Amino acid sequence: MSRILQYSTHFLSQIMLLLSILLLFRGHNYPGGGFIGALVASATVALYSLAYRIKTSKFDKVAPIILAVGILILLLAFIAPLFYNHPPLTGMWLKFSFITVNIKLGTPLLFDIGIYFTVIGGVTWLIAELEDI
Amino acid sequence: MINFDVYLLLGLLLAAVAAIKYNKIVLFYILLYWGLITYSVFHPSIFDFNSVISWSKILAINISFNNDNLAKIFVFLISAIGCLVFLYSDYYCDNNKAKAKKLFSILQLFAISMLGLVLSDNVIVLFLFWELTTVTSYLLIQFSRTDSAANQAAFNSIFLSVASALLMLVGFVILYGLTNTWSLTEMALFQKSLSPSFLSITACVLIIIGAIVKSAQFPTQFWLSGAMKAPTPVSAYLHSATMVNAGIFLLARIHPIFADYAVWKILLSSIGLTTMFIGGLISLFHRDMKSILAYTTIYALGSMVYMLASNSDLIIEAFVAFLFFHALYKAAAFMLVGIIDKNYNTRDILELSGIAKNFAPISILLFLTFIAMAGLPPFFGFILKELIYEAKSMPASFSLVSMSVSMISSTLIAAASLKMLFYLFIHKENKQQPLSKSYSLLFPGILVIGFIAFSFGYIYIVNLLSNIADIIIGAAEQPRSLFDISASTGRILNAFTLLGGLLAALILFKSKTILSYPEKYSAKTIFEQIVNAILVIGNKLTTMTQEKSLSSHIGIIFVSLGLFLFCLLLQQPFQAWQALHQLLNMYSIGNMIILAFLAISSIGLVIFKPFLTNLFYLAILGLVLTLFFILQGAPDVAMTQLLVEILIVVVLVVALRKADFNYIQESKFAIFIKLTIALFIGALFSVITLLLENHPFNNVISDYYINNSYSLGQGMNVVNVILVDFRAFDTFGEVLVVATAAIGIWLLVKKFHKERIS
Repeated sequence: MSRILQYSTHFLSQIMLLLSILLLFRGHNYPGGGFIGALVASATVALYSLAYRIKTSKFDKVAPIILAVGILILLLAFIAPLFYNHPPLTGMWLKFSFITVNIKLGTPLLFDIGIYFTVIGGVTWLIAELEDI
Repeated sequence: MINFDVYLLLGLLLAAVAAIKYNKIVLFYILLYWGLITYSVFHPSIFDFNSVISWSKILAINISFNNDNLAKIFVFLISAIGCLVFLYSDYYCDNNKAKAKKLFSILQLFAISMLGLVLSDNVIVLFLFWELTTVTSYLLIQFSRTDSAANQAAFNSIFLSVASALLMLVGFVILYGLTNTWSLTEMALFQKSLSPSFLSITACVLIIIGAIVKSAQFPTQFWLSGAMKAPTPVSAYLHSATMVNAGIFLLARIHPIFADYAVWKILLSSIGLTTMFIGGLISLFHRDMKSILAYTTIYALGSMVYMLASNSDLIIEAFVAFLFFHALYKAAAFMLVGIIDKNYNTRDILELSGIAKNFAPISILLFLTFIAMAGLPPFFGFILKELIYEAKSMPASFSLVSMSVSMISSTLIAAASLKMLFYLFIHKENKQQPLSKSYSLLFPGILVIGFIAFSFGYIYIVNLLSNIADIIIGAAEQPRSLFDISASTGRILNAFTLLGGLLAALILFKSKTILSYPEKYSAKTIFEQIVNAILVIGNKLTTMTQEKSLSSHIGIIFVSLGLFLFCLLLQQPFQAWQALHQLLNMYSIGNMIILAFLAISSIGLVIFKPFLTNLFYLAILGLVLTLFFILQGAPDVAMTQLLVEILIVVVLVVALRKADFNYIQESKFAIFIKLTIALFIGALFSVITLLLENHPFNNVISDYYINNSYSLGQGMNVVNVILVDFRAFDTFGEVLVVATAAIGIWLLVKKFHKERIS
């Protein structure tokens, strides 16, 4: 129950979560991506559970749901092109500019978000389960 | 014009909704969904079936649909009987919301897969839907997870189904090689022009195996009787009208290609006849009404397979008519048995004696259904049997053995149905009690009205029947209709069969015997013993070939692999020496620092015994690798390496902090051997890696990705674009592996906890 660790976790976890979302969204053009963002988020969860020694019993129930949501998002990215008469998993992009910023949203981004949630769910579930031994 | 693919996806959405919340509104939407499909059978222009989505351009696999009359009749069965089954399930679940959610969502998923199966034109898409029906039917059979007999039955069904489906897939691929098309409509044009060769006969046999196991033919018929553990709505839908007909459907679709083959005729007629006989015989051995119905279904499927063996247009027309008629009365029979089960809490015919005495609605429905099943007039079964006997006694298709076997089987079936009728209606005591929720009789009632209407109105659809028969056998030279022939011989044979059945039923009823046969000779026991033997042999092999300690196991692998590769290297000694020289030439400062740290951490890893110290040095090793990747210019890999290293250390610490380690003292000799092997393998693989690095590298693929990553993939980070765009399907698989690992660990931990408590 190290006070230093707990205090620094209080700040670090906020930064790490923001970092993980940042990595997720910048992954397409700069180093980063869904896997890396998800691992940073899982590291946050691991750090938090180590610092506060909380029984991660809530994670036992929540993590599978996050995993399932991730897989559903992946499936959505899979079948969304079917509605536009493209083969499954085609990359489709929606480009628009917001004031001066060019924004591109597409099915690969949706796919990346799905990976993000799936890996977070999987890894945190793993950690939560193994903690109980 | 609704796009059909979108409509299918809408059905999946309905299944998801039903899984979350079930109430009458959801039921209404499900009925609306299937009602629209039933309507589309008569007005096909509602749905747009022509939008072909190409799934894989290279393999020429398209998601395309084929809505001809053969498909339409199956779609009608799936959707019309489906609506009634959904209504019946609502009654069956009795306001038990949890049960209703599960039953409706999986049943809806099954119905969608079945719909996709009969409408698909591409054999790969058909295979996809075939396997979906297998999975959903497994979930439905295993509905009450605590019943171990149901678990075993579900396992049997999925094992047989998946094994046969794999063989069937091989058959499809061979067929693609021979005809160069995946489309069933184009394959049907190959009628009579695909000459029997080794490959085509193999394809024929493999596809037949797939269809036969799905339709519960001999010797795999036991999975259907085991599947009776499923809830009654499931039996009424799957095991009478839809899923078991999937195999029959496939046989009908490929009939034009293979019907002239001797293999086809011999295999299908022999298996069909055997199944007919077994179905008829064993239906007399059971007391549970659902089991009796299961075996009469097996008889009916056997007779349909037998009818498909022939090439005569009369018999194929009979097949289509029988398919339709059978689905109607069988579904009605299962529903009635379910209603009886709900009200009297038993399905044993000996205990149910005399429940149907008065002219209550249920008695009327039971009487009509079982009379239809026995094949008595005035129902269609009677007319059909007459005509079938007549068609089979014509010189072209006559065979004494087959005629006698089919007559005996029909006799047995008539006996079984009449016996059930006797038990239900005749007994001294009148145990009838008023039925709760008698609106439930409406659903089988509609089916009964359906088959009565069919029996009296079949003349109006004779054209439709002969059209479907044309699809199955290709255009006949001189088309004849089944209902134009006069059936004098047939009438005599039919009368014999029915009288024989009546006699047998009376004898069995009066003597109150239920015959039985020893369980240890049944096909089910044999199958389960085979599966057991496979597991036992696997276990024995593993213990024989694997060493007990991990280090000796790895040591053997390293030594043998190392010696093999070393011998290969000795053939190119000069390049190997050059590679080693190159290794010694890499002296930039960064590389030297990294090398120093690697050396320190490796030695620390090996020397120190305590577990946490090992973990510490392992972490240093991982972090130094991260540095190496950054120096080599691969930031994504470096980040992943760093994070995975951190997570591994955290997980190991968390998982093993309470563990008790016994540190064994090893002899100096053992340490020496392990060190030698480790150094040998390390040096060998370094040299091989350097050799591979100097090998000329074909840049085609990486150049394509680098050049097209911004134009096609809209991204500048090539690694990420490859992961989520170019090779997204592979990433999908990998992510599923992560999910499976998490689920596996959950199960293992659960089991570990259970063992610790007990």
